[in-house]
Amino acid sequence: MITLGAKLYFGIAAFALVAAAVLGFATDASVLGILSFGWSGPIGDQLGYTVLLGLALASFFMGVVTTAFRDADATAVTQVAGTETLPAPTPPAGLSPWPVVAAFSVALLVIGLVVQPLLFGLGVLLVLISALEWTATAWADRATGDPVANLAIRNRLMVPVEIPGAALLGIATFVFFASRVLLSLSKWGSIAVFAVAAIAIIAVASLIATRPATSRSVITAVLLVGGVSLLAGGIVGISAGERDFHQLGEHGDDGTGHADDAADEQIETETGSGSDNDAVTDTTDGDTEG
Amino acid sequence: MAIRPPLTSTVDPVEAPTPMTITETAPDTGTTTGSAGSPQNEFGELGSVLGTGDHARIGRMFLGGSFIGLVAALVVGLLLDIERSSADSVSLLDNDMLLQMVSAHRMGLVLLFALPALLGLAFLVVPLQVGASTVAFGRAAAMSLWTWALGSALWIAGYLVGGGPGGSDLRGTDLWLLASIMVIASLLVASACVVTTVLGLRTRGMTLGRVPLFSFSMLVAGSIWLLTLPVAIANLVLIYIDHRYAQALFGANEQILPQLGWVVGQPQIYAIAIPVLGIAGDIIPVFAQARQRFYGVSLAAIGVFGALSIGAFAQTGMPGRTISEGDPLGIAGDPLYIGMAVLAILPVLMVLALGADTMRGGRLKFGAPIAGALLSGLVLLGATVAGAVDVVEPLDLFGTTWALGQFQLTVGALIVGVVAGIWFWAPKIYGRTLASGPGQVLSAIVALGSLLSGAALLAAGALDQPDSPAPGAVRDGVEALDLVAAAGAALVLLGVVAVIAAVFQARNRDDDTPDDPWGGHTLEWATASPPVRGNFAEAPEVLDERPLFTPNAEEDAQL
Repeated sequence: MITLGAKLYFGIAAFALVAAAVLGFATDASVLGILSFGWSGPIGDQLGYTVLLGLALASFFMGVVTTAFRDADATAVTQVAGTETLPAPTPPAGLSPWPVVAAFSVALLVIGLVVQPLLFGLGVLLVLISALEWTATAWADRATGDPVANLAIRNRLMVPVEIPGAALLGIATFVFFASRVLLSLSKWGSIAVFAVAAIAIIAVASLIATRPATSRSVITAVLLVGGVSLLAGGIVGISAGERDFHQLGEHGDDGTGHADDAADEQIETETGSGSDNDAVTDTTDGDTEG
Repeated sequence: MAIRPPLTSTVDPVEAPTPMTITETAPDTGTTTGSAGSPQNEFGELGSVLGTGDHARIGRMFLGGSFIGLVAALVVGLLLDIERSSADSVSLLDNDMLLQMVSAHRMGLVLLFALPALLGLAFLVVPLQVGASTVAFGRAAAMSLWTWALGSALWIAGYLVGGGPGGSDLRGTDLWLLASIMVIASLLVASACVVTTVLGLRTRGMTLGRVPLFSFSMLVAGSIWLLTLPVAIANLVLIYIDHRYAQALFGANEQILPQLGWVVGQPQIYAIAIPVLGIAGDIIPVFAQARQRFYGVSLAAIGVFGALSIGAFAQTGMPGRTISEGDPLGIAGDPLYIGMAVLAILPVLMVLALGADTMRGGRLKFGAPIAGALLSGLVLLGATVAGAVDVVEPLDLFGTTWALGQFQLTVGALIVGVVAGIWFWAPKIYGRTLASGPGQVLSAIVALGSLLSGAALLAAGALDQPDSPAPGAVRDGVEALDLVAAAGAALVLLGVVAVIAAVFQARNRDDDTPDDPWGGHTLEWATASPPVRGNFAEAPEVLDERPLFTPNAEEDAQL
């Protein structure tokens, strides 16, 4: 069922679309250009057409979202909540971290724009996550007058998204920062660091497995220390930069998949073989030689 | 406290739900049901602060943060005044820093104090005045607070690393530009929350014509900010792109402030002073113990003052009256610009005249709020008169300190008005009444300082002193006036610091605060001090613009 709010958005979208077409025809657009949204033909006043078309698209999107979430439709909310009845709605009373997370994300975005594109990307990602979480929470907040019931409704909707999302984000973060550490260390240094890290992880995991009574706060503290160490190592690795790599396959590749031995020897002679911070990579077969 | 006629209790504000699936019974979701309180907070007080959507808490934090910004901006302004008043051969500050400090002072007073202070006060008072249980979009209000706080920190950091208008550090200037966008955008979000609260969350019977004057003034001011400040954002975006990638349109950093000068010049500067009329309009009848005379005219005057403060059209160029050298796009001779500056006197005069008439017809009792309200109105009147004189072309005041004097008067009026508002609504803000004696003295000190500073700069401007604190820019013969201006700025700073101390002292006091210590006329006085969660046990219904007013208001105040 299309809700009242969705009807408003769809109406605005239709109006903006018609207005864009009228503006286009009034400013020397071609029929084909209007019908193909400027893909193959002139659209007349480009700025006005783009603004109106943007309004139409945004309104259409909002209409779809409003319809999908069936905003303020009590029957739909009971279906999502899996319940028979709902308390009457009241203003939200609970705490929400997303406003402050969104604010920090915007700050990160601004700092990233000035100093580091990576931070900008992270800011954008966090803004998107905040927007998604906030939307879901706000929607659930309005569902009933009971904060606990609202939380259950929100969890029912978001947990299936949050757990895989958080897992993916966690893995990506681990891979990224671990790779920064690996790339900044020398060949043997990286082997040594990660051998120690692996042993530490196994040791901690074994300890926890053999002592099930270990308190939750101790486990949290250990994980926190590990996470902070990884982040700190990754940030130091980023600032130190990658170690030097010499691409051998670019010189004298004979087309058989084997690098030109003479060129390899030449580079090895020039770079020296005893440097800890140097590595020679044969891109043709993936081996790395110190 | 007794609910007075014509206020009547009414039915549940929430319309009776029609869908059959909605009941007052909590659903069986496998969790604890039926809890009406907040979800368990695992992170203690810090979590409560960071995660809050409570309008009162957000308002208090906005208000507190704005006073930190005020002190910082006043210190910078005082240093500039001292620099201006020092002899040519003596310079306390690095020349490169002067332009940065000029922008930090003027923009800082608007972005770090004026707008957030008014929004903070509005978050605290407006929902109570219109009979709402909360502010509209409470979470967006929370986001605006944190975004403003972080943006302000980045804004200051931009200066500290050598950026900002006139700064030599390119990245610092980029940071300043983006932080300015962030701050303005956050304030616009907060404005939208306040405006929506007045428009959409009014209780039964409260037509727009019955909205209390402060809430109405915030509706007008918020709407003006929403209409005009996006232009400032567009300006900043354009400047940022140019500064970052080409520096072709606006050149070096020196051109940034002239491009944004309209935000701190007239008529736009009056947009921050609109709520001063609302604060005075709400306080005067209560202390006069009389019904406000010609209420509709007061509303209209506030609306007209708002319309006359739309200054975004002036962004095409500066009238050449600040630090900019020459201005090919200047609007100094524009009839609209001149007309708005001259007409701005009338609504202020109208509100003050109606206030005086109300006082004449009542039994005036004196206190800190009424002292502050009257002083702020008079200082604002002085500012509008100065603004009208400014556009008289034969006087040739452009580029002199006259405009700076007018700016100081406008901001001074706002500071005194906000102090009056804090003293008046303290029971609702902090759950405490503030001592009346210190309130009267401090309002007088801040008003006197603003008048001294503003008048001295106006006089110096009339003597052709250019609006530049740079050594050598001081015109001979006006050193004494510059010293008076510096003394006035110091007085304002002293008064503001004392206000902060007085508020902290009162907050630590443990006393029994009455719900309505003044015999108030509007709905905020019908609830507890501090208000309960949801503000009202039952949504009130109002039948006129002063629902709590009775001729024997003084007796009611004792109840």
